[in-house]
Formats: sequence, C-alpha cells, structure tokens
Amino acid sequence: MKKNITVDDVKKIASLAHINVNDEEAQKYAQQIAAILSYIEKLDEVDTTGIEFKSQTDLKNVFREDIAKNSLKQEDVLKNRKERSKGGSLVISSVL
Amino acid sequence: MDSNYELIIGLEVHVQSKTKSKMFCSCDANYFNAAPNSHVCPVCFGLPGALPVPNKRAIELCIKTALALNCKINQNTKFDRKNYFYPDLPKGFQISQYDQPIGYEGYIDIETKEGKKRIGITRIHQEEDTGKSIHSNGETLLDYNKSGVPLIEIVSEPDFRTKEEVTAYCKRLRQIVRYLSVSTADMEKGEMRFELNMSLRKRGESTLPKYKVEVKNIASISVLEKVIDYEFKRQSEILDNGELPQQETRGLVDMSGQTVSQRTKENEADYRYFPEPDIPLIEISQDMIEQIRAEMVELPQAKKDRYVKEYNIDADTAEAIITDSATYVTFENMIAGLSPNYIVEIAKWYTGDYFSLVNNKERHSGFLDSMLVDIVKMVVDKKITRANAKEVLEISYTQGSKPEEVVEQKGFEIVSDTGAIAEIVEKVIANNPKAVEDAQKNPNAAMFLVGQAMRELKGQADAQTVKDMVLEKISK
Repeated sequence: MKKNITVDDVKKIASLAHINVNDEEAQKYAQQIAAILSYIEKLDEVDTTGIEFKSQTDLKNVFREDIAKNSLKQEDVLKNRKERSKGGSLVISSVL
Repeated sequence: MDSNYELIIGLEVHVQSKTKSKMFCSCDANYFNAAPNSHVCPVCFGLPGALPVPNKRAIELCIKTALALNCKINQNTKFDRKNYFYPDLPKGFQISQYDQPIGYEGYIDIETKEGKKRIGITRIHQEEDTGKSIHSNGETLLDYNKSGVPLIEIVSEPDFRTKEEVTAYCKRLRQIVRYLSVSTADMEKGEMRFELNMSLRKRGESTLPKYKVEVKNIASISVLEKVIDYEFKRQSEILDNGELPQQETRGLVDMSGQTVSQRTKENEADYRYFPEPDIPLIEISQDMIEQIRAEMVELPQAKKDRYVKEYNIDADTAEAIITDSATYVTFENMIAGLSPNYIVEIAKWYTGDYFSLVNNKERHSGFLDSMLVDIVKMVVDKKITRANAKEVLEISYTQGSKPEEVVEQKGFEIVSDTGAIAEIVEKVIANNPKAVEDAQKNPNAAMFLVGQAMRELKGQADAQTVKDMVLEKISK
C-alpha cells in the first residue's frame, strides 16, 4: 500500500502545528514524508494475525500515592526567559 | 420555551478532582492563589526524560464517580495522547482517554415538573487540566500551575429537551461529586465547567438534527442557561428562514450568553490520538471496584426517596435537607434513634424556622442542634404551643439558653392538668349561655367558646384538648 502525500496534506499538518510552509517547501516535504512512510510500511510485511494489542511493556498498574512534593522554583522555571515574563507568568504574543 | 422547535442538548462536564497532588506528577494540585508557575515540574512541561505516573487516588475518584453515575467500568483501561498545539498545553498533547474510558453507559435520574427523567451518560474518563492563559494588551500571560491537575470528563447522551432538565442535571451532578468528596466543584474557581452540544428540531420529529453546535468553556450554570436561550433564538431564526445552522464550535463573547463562531476547530482525527507510551496499561480489579463501592455514601436521590418513604417527609422538605453533606449530616445526627412522629416534625422545623434563623440571626456558641430536637419534642408532646416554641427556638439560638429554662422562665408550659382546663371550660360555658345555644345548633360556633377558654388559659393549653372538652361539655 503506497501512501500518496499531497501538498494539501502537508499544509494541513503544518497548520495543526501552527507552522508556516510555502508551496515550494510543501512540495519538498510531501516527497520526504512519503519516503519516510513507505520505509515504515515495511512493517506491513509482518504477519500480525492473531496477535493481540500489547503495550510496549509488561508492566501494569504503575501508580503514585497522592502525595504533594516540592515543584521547581519559580525562578528556575523562568530562567531561560526572564525578559519575557511578567509577575511570574510567561509572556507570549497574543494568541487571541 | 413555547416554539415550533424542540431542544436537543448533550453536555460535557469537566470536574476537577480533589487530590493533593497533580494527575501525573507530585506537584501540589492546590494552585489557588499560588504564585504563577510555582507548582510546575519537568513532567508538567513534558521535558525530555520526564515520566508521567498516574495518581492512584485520582483514578479511584474517577471510578467512584463512574459507579455513582451507574456506569459500567472498563476493567482494562489506558491513557492516550490527544495532540494539539496551543500555548496552555506545554507538552503539545494532553494525556486523556480515547477508546477505553474508565466508565461508560451510565445514567443519572433527574427530577422535573413532569416527574423523574433518566439522562444517559455516554462515558466518564480521566484526563489532565491545562494551564491558565490571560489575554491582555496584545499579550498572552501563561501560568502552568493548573496544568496537570486531575480532571474528570463526564459526557451525557443528547437526552435533554428543556433548559430546566439541563439545570437539574448540572445541580444533581455537582451535588453527587460533592457528596462523594470527589470535588468541591466550586464554579467560581473553575472546578466545574461545561460544554454544550445543542441543536433544534421541529416538534414531532424523532431523528436527531443534521447539525450540532458546540459551545465551549462555560463556567457556570447561570451562564449555561443564558447560552441555551441565546442559541435557541439564533438557531430558530436560521431554521425559520429554511436554512440549516452551521455545524461549528462557538465561543462566548461575555457572560451574557451571546456566542460567536470560532475558527474551525480540529476534527477528531486531527487530534491524532494514540496510546500514551509512557504509562503502562491499567487493570481495574473487581476487588478494587468493590472496595470503592464500599466507600460510597448514600447518594442524593436515594436519600431523598428514603426520607419521603421512610419518614413521610414531603418532597420539598427532603430536597432542602439533602442540599449538601453538612445539611443532611446535621439532620441525621438530630434524628438518630427518634421515633417517626418526631422526625417528620424535626424536618419541618429544621428546614423552616431553623434555616430562617441561620440566614437571619447570629448563632450563639452555646446553641446546640440537640436543643432544636428538645423544642420539637415539647411541641409534639404538647408541652408547649407552636407559637411559643418559635420564640423559645429564637431565644435558644441567639442566646444559647437551654429550652427547658426558657419555657420555665416564660411560663410557656401548657396546662396539661385536665382538671384545671375543665374548670375553666365550665366557667366559660356558664358565662356564655347564648354562645352555648348557638354551638349546640352549629358545632362551628363552638370556636368562640374555645377562644374564650384559651384566653383564660393565656394560650398555654393545647387548643385541640380544649376544643374536644368544649364539644363534649356542650353536647351533654
């Protein structure tokens, strides 16, 4: 099964990720993504009949008790963007 | 709403669970009034190497809610990633549940003017809350203290046909999660939020409409009611013009209920749900379910029905008592071990005179709930009159005085000595020959004589006893 990735597919994915992609780039990425997908499609060759869905680990029910511990210090949280914070909040351009 | 159209509504309700720590990390979940970004860690931000580990208590609370809403439990469950890109979600995905929610196929019975109605619950699942964003002056301020706080999502079937049903459901649901101590569900703090799915169809039609309008982020029941009114008007106008309202997500303009179209949101496929690879599968054992079931308290509707059936309390009084845990616990403590004739009276006094004192007067520290019981017992046992009992209650409530002492000081004790009453009744009869003659022809006229006797007794006698005695004596 060969997946055909169109320019529109790329633009849709880009818009979901809020990334600007122009036509030229979209063309290039469409080919690259198609190549990646066809590589992964090798997995389709494996016969999985009768094999149940399985987690990547045999572990089950790994829980924490409900105990609150110390978090990061606010100054450490803001360390990398001091100039873009206000009263402890991170500041970004308006998303409204 | 008198109209050619009928409402079709389904609700998604989000409730923050009351845990000490967040859903997948040990950050303090009580973020209220905390300094911005002081309750965050690498797990909240999804930094490389961070490993989310589910909060056992939160899972238990979700199962408890599912059981309370009569849901089946998915004993094999898991978490999934819901991918979307928005600044209030630093990881780029929300950990939620996709195809194996903890609870499914449940219901809540609500009460309407037309009687009981069953609202189907499609699913209940566990997820995490997002951060808080404040938009001002062309900037967005982000505080991630709320991100990762456990959030239970309760999805209903499109079973609501009136605004009143929606309100009754939301209030009952809030009451249930509070009874269970799952959530404080304080809407002013955003602990309970609503998403409305609404469309209209012509009365008499039975299929679901071909469109659905979704309104997100509704923070209170009163705003939800206003949104329903606004959308009803908006959608009926479009339908009146022979058009079909657009299937879309709309946002609130302000608290007035007005909505505006939002740019097209992602479709379900765009969320690219996939199993959360960092959290192993979860198996909910029957033992765990039974243990949680054993922890459950009697739920509001069951309690109300029991009060009505077992104690003969009327429905409105019962509803007032089951309002919240504190109110019913006080009541149940008061009536413990008492016989039913006292209980029904206590219910009336508790929700009537006592509630009114609570709302209007300062409670004296010396007042005990057992004093209300003492007073009501005196009324039922005909030791004091109702009118005097009200006064005793107010004095005890505001001054902390013992009811028996108030009764004694005020001389409120009813004359129960039938000999003394008989003496006065005879005197009244002797002094009013004309009234006696009237009363012998028309028993209703005997009330004059009863009144006279009560006046002589200064009101401290049981009116029924006096009346019986008057009727007996004049009939001779």
